[in-house]
Amino acid sequence: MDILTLLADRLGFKEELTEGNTVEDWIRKTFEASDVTKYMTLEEFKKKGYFVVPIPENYQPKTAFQDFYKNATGLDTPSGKIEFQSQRLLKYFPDDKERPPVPHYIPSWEGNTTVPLVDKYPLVLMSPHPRYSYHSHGELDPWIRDIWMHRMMKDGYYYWPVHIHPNDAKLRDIGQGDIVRMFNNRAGVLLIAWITEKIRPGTVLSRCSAKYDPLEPGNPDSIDRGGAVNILVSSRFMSTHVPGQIGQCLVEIEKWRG
Amino acid sequence: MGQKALVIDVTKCTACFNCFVACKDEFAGQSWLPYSAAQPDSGQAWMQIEEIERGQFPHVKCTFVPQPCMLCRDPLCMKAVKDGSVYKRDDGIVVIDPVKSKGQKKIVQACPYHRIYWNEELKIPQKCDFCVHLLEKGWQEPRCVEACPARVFTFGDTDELSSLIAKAEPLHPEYKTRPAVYYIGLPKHFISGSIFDADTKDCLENVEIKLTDQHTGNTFSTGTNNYGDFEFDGLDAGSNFHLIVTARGYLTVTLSEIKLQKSVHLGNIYLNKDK
Repeated sequence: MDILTLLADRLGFKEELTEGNTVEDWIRKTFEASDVTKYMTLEEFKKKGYFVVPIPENYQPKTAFQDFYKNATGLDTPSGKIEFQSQRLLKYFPDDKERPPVPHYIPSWEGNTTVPLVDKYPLVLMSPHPRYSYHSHGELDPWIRDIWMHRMMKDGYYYWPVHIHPNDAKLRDIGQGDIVRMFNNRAGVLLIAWITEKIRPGTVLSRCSAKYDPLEPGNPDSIDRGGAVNILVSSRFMSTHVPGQIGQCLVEIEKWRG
Repeated sequence: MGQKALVIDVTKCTACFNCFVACKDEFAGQSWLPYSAAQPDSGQAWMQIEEIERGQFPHVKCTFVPQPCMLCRDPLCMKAVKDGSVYKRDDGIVVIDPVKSKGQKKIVQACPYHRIYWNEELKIPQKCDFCVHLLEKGWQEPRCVEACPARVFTFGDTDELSSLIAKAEPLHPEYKTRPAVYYIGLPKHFISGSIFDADTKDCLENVEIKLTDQHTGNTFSTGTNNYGDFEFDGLDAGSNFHLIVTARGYLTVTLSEIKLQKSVHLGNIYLNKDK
């Protein structure tokens, strides 16, 4: 919040952002707007550090979509049904070619058919959300970090894994647990190779939102070894109307001998 | 007091690591003397999950095998010492005494399952003790069991769990330590493939597949699904197999001498029409 306030100040709209509140004011206002006030004061909450939301009395678990299953209606869509053609998208963004009202296959702007880039960077990187952390929150918590599928220790450093098919690894002389450099014309990231049949040949997988830990802090072109594969991905939005980037791009991988 | 047992159904485990984190929450930085000293924040996994990956792309199966202490009835860690620094309670739980075991690294090396860790700071061996300090307070099960959202674990007295144990097996029985941790659904090996029409490249459904174990003479049969896929799971490694693919209107295909060292996906098999 401090950083955003300073930026807003420089850009000339500090008051619009803060509405005259300090960080402490925001904490108090947010707390007071919540139901936690029924159970404890802000001071008690700060001292304890957390609040476990109580399960309502006589709580009956409800299966998702059970009303829809019984009555074939009641979904939160204009028609109340599953829509093959989204009525909302049709109404508001009928001409969005990148998120059309009827979903269909659109070739990736940076995928395995993108010539000539694919000749230089022949592997498709998929970068889904991390499984054991919420984006980077808790990512380096010592307990979570110890989950071997989350990060793998090598030479005293917890590296972020990249799944690579045995055929692709062999082509590049990469062995199980080797440190590799995954790169394209945007950046380079050091990762630990997890050779597995689970990944399709020609495709690699490394999850998004890992910590950025440059080898040369301060140098924007530095290689990262925190596993921040986000820096390899284009900053282009999914569509004009969809903020957020596609977690996919073209890369090459080589054994790191640094 | 009944002998404790733990039955682990690996067919339900998704490797969410909730058991692992619950274990850390109970033991990291907290000592429960006289049973356990504090576990360090990093480097120990009293509950660890092993991944067993089988097959080749695109036919791959993964099994996750959670591994606490194996509750051995003939524990090698206990045999490794003579001073009582490792002892077995009446309920079968093996405890490493955090005071008496100081400096004895051989206790770590004694466990064939690699379930004992060395605490470099305290110079003691440490492992899972099924939250014995909680069981003493009346808990029915350890933290890992309680934390599992998939109900992979069943913990209790051996005689109460006998019907489950009858369907289960220990991990690595060849170690001969007689564990009271049992597993349901430990993977064996499979042979799989996909059947197509050689001309149209269409998937062929309901194709009859016969598999013969050339060592034992046992035969198995199955049919392809609507994607043309078939699979024989639960096979023993080390044998040679003979596979016959029969479909009405097509020439029969025979594959001999399939040496099964590990699970194998035979890939796409194309059938020619019988003209």
